[in-house]
Amino acid sequence: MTEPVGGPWRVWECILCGWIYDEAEGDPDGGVAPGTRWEEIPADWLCPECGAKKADFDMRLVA
Amino acid sequence: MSAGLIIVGASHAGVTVAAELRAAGFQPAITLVSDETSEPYHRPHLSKECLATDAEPGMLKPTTFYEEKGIERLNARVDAIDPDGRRIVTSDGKSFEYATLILATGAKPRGLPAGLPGAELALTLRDRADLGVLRARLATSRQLAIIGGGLIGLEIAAAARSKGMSVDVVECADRLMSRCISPELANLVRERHVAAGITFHMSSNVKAVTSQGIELTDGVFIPADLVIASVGSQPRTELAARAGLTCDDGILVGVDGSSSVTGIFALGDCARWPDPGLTRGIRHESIAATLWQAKAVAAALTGRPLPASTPLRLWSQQGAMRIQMAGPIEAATHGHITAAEGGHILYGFSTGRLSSVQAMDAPRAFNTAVARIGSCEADFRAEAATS
Repeated sequence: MTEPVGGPWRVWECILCGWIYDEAEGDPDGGVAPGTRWEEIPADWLCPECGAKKADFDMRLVA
Repeated sequence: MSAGLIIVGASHAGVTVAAELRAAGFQPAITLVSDETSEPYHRPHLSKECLATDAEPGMLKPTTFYEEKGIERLNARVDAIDPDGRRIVTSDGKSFEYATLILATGAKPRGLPAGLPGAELALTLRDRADLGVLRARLATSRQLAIIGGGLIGLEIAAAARSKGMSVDVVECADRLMSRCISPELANLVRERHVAAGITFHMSSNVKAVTSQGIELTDGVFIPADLVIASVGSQPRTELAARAGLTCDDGILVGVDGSSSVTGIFALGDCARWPDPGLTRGIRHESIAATLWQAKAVAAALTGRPLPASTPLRLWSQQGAMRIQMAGPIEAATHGHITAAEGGHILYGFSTGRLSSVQAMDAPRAFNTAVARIGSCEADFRAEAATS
């Protein structure tokens, strides 16, 4: 697989519950397609595990 | 059409097991039955921002998820299970056949002792309907008294205080959140609540609830125009017990979620799962435990290996305070508490290894530490010596 446009996929971790968001995998069940950059996730998206809002908590860049 | 899979209960456990089954390639029909009319929502929001800001709880999945995944939602109350005939009966008299049944019936608030005078005057919070009642009462009340100083009681207390209400908390133990966090951290949390203006009555027992407030056994009277009881939960096992499933403060299940009756599984707050360190098993009322169990049941029903276990974690949002916990607190023989990120983190050790982590307002340090559960205490000593 070639490197995605805009640099390697990044991995984010919900600082509240520890859920991992991998840009390569997205959150298909939550309406976020694989390959969606963190910045492109809609503002009304919720952490699928703990329900934290995107704006209310920090995702920590882990890779 | 052949009978498919029926899930009773559409909160975190029921919805997640449905999603995990589809993710694992499970093909048969899935029906998610719930007596709540609302689309499945994040229940933990109810005692936090929903009370503090009048926000509605977030939805567990987008509306389109259920149709896309071939998961049918049925709004009905299940009254009976016929395990021999493999069917459920709903309150409107209809019956539905299943090949596999998953019970995710959750828990209900533990009531105050039946003999306590005025017990019926205290409200409880568990679902969206309760939230509606509570909000209406909060809007017309000025003095709130909460019975129970656990996580939920303190979340409600902080939310009400942030809206300018006077808040008293009555706790029978000499410390707060005794099931969840260590005394040292619990004391720090209490100090913050006291600074915010919440009054605590520790080591206190309720003699009676009246329309004017709470009378304690030591003679103290706490004036209140609204009383909330938050004294723990009870698993909803009536349906399972009537159908002959073995229950003991929860539906007893094996490591794959299978109950004592063939073809019936259980997970979430209604179930008691085996725990390697315990003889009785554990009913860990947490999202983390539920998510792991959902993966385990999905694995069992699709012939896959069980998922690797991860440390169970809990969190609580009490006003501006974030409290997080992972690992069993009772196992730790000693610990140390340290300042981190403007808050505090507590490391608990047993048999020379990190066994639990708790944090107040130190979410990044917490996540880093959770990943190190099981590592040697000596390493932490060496780091402390060099830092």
